[in-house]
Amino acid sequence: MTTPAPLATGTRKAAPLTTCHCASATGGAGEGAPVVALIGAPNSGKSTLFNALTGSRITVGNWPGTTVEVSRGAWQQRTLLDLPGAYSLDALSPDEELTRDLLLADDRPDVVIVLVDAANLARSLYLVSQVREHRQRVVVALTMLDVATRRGIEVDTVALSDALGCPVVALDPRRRSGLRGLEVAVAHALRDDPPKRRVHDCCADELVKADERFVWVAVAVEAAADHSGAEQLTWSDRIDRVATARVLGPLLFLGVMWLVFQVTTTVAAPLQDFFDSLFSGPVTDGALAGFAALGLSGTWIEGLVVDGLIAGVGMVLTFVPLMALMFVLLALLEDSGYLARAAVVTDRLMRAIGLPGKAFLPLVVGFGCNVPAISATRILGDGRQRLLTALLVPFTSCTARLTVYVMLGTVFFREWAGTVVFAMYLVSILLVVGTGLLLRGTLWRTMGSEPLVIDLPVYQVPTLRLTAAVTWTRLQGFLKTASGIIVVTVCAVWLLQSIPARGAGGFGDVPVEDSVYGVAAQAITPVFAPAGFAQWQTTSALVVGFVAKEAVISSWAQTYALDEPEGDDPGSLGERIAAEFAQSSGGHPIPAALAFMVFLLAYTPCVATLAAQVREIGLRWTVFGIGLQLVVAWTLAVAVFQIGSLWW
Amino acid sequence: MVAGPVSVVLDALETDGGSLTEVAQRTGLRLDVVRAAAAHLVRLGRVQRCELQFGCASGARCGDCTLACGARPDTLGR
Repeated sequence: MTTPAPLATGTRKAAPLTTCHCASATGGAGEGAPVVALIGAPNSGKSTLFNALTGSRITVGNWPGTTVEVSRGAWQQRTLLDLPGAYSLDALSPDEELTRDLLLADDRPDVVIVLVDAANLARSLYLVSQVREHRQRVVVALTMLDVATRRGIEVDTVALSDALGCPVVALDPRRRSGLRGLEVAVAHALRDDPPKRRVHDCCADELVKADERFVWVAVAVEAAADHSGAEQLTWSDRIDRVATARVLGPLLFLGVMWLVFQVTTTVAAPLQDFFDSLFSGPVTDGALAGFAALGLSGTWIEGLVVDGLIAGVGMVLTFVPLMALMFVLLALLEDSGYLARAAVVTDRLMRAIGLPGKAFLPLVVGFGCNVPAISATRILGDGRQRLLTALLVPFTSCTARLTVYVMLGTVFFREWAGTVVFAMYLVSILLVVGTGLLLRGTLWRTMGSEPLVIDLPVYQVPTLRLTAAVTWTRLQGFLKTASGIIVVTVCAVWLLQSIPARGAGGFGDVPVEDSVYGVAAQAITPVFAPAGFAQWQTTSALVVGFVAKEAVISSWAQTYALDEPEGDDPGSLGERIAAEFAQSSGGHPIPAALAFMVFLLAYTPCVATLAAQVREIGLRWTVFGIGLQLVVAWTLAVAVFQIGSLWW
Repeated sequence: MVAGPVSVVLDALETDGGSLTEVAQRTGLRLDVVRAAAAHLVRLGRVQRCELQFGCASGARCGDCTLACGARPDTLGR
């Protein structure tokens, strides 16, 4: 004898039992009473029906040898068992295993009541199709008819009963309607012999069996359910006919994103100019006056604050209007549900080139920030898929790089800035696809991929509150970065720019090109000569960008703030950068600027991303990734400049 | 032998993917049958399911993630 299982509070103690009919001995209707089992999908209303039929005369306890809870009760001199929820008899959990074992045991229930959801008939009837494959008395309890009616679905219970070969009773357990009909149906079933089994091929593979069952289900649904009142195609579906179409879908998506970049760069430009003037004018003048009043003019403290923090951090803060506007537009697209359609478009693209279907998700996340994108690769079940996707994430253009694109786009391309920024994102997608194909075709030829079912949210009108909340959350993240790592980077750059490496100047009093910062940058600059941007001020910014891409602009601002041109006109940062590119490229500044932007896109991501990569894929593969990124970045940048300088 | 709904849906998802509504339109099957077949394929492990949501699936609030895949509620309470 086994020890009695633990029971729920307020119920009678159950004796040990191992079969359905042993349940009658206690906690049921008594020994020898017929046993009726309730089965159905989880949350189909079984427990509600069970309680309605048995009242308070129930016993709850674990089935012997299991941790699965089964309720037993008395219903009209019958023992009623509330078996665990199951979608099918192909068990995936201990609960479903117990349901299957009890139904198919030699000492099986006398009658099985299967709860079927009228609003999801096709799905619910699969369980019925399996139960009907065994010699078992079955009564179908049809629930959720009110929901089905609201959806425009009408079910003929007589036709359904004919198609299924067993009685069908419509009932509502919550309102306790139809219970008398169920009692009558069960009583009739108990008097009759079990019906003939549904013919099926028990030796076929699982897919063939599933097909056969669903054909049987589809015939029954067709015979008994009238869906003519149902809105088969919602208005969301109608929009998706275009939004997720094979050719139009990607074109529409690209068009929408181009519009976002165009609106952002155009509308935000005047605001950026205002903030730029504010920081380089009154804020700087005020700080200088303040230091003069304190007798600290010309000291390293003034240099740190004015040429470091104000110039560096201030320059990044001028992008706040642009980032805010971009975040607003993206939030509107997200909340409307449109951006989710990008997932379908991207999934299709992934699949077309043999990449894992679910890989689209980390890659889409990477366009926001590469760090969570690396973590998101955990959703991929296969280790090789995770590795491949983690190596591709750095090629997605994160929002940190966006500030640099916008700045250079505005300086070199003016009214075409939005289009150029959009082009960079296209290049990013091409890089992901191209590198993915390369790695897939060399290192991971045999990698498979599972198809994906994507549940799309319904389209809706964006809400102002949600849009504002999302925008503010993201803007906070941007400001947090500006006030965190950029401040640290600015201080570090200032320090390196203050330490003399050669020449006669002392700490804080050295020309920037003679500082540790300048000399180190000059050492690696020749590498970029073929790419047209071999000036140390630019290559040093790329090194700083290794820490944080947002810091590229701040380091430029710091470098050029210290490196004042001769004459009275200090020149704006953009003008200085344009002049340097023109010089280093031999009169081809536009291809050089494009080459720089391509290099920025493709080269090593920030330190935080690398740390995430080490965590997810290990040091060896991260180093491989760094090498891959640098080779791709340099090769592409050189190609862009060499070819582009033939025209511009 | 004519392929059944499960095979047809699996083939459609493997070749072209997309939403279930698209699969229903392409295959001519009823949408409820496509949904049921897809749910069964997910149970069989032949297909993965992705329920898109906005915000971070881990509950963080950095705001960087546009999309997430999972059953957790949106962090912004929609």
